[in-house]
Amino acid sequence: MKRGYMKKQRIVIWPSSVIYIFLIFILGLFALAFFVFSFYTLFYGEPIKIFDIIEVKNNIVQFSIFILIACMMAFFFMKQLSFKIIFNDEFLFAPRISSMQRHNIRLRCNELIEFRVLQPLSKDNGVIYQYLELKYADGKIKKLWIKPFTKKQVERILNMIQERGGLQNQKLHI
Amino acid sequence: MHTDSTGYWFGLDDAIAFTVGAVAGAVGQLISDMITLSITGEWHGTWESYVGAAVGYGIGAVSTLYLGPVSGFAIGGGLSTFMGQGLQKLNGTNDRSWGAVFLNSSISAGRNSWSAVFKSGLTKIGNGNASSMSFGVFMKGLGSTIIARHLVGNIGKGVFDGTYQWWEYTSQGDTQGLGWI
Repeated sequence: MKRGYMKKQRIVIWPSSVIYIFLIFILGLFALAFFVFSFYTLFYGEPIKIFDIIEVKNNIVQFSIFILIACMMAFFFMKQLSFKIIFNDEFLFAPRISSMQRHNIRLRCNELIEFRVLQPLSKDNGVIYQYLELKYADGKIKKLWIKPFTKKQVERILNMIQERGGLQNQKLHI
Repeated sequence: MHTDSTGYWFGLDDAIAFTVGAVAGAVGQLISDMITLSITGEWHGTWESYVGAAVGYGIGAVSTLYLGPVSGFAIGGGLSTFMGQGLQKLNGTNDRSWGAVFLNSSISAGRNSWSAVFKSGLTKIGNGNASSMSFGVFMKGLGSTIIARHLVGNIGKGVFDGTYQWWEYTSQGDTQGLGWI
């Protein structure tokens, strides 16, 4: 495997916020329902009016509409399901995730000197999504999307950064 | 001991998002029904459609915080249609088949408006960078997007109906003896 960090000891933190899990479940349910219903329309479909306007009689057309939507939902479901934060001996990794985290995150823990939590929809911080803002010694700032994690998990992430040599002069109080 | 003096960890942000989404969903439905009333002279709104719009878009707005605009608002659009039309079906207010209810919901979720409109509209308002979008911009964007969705849907239906009737009239004549105003 190319990436060296994969060979070292890895600690994976999966998001476990209750609302996040509930929404992922709904998303999965939508995807599954669309797959089931697309095949239902193929074999048993009756004429359907889309938004009470356009009547679709052809089963194959109905199937094509459903299967496209089902695939799209399944894709988003899988993307969300694979979101996690990974630690090895030195680095923290987090995958890119559409809209919230535009790039893959790879941070060397012992170079991080400061953090703050940006709360969503807060007038003080003014962001939609919840981020952990991490500052390097040279002033560079990286944002880590943490909304799907519980408060305890975020504290654990901060502790693990500290154990790896970062955030040495800051209390980990969030 | 864990403290949460701001309330954000407890879900204050979720509550704000749900409230804004729900109010905007219901207001959007009201404007949409008023446009229909002014065009047709008939009131088509039902309590089921208002509950569907409010709960669906409320959950949609919360989903945006956790899943991002694309998945989040697909859920919102799909749920609002499914709940509204599903409640109407259960109460006998309409006679759509469950297949039609489900298809309408999935079209809402899929096309959705939300992924396309929210992403292209709202994020552009926020200078193309959702991660730095301000609280105020989010609120304005969320509300206007939900309302715009209802308006576009309604106007679109009106245009289609009018065009279809015009085509029917010109190609088949005045079969119903209604005349052409």
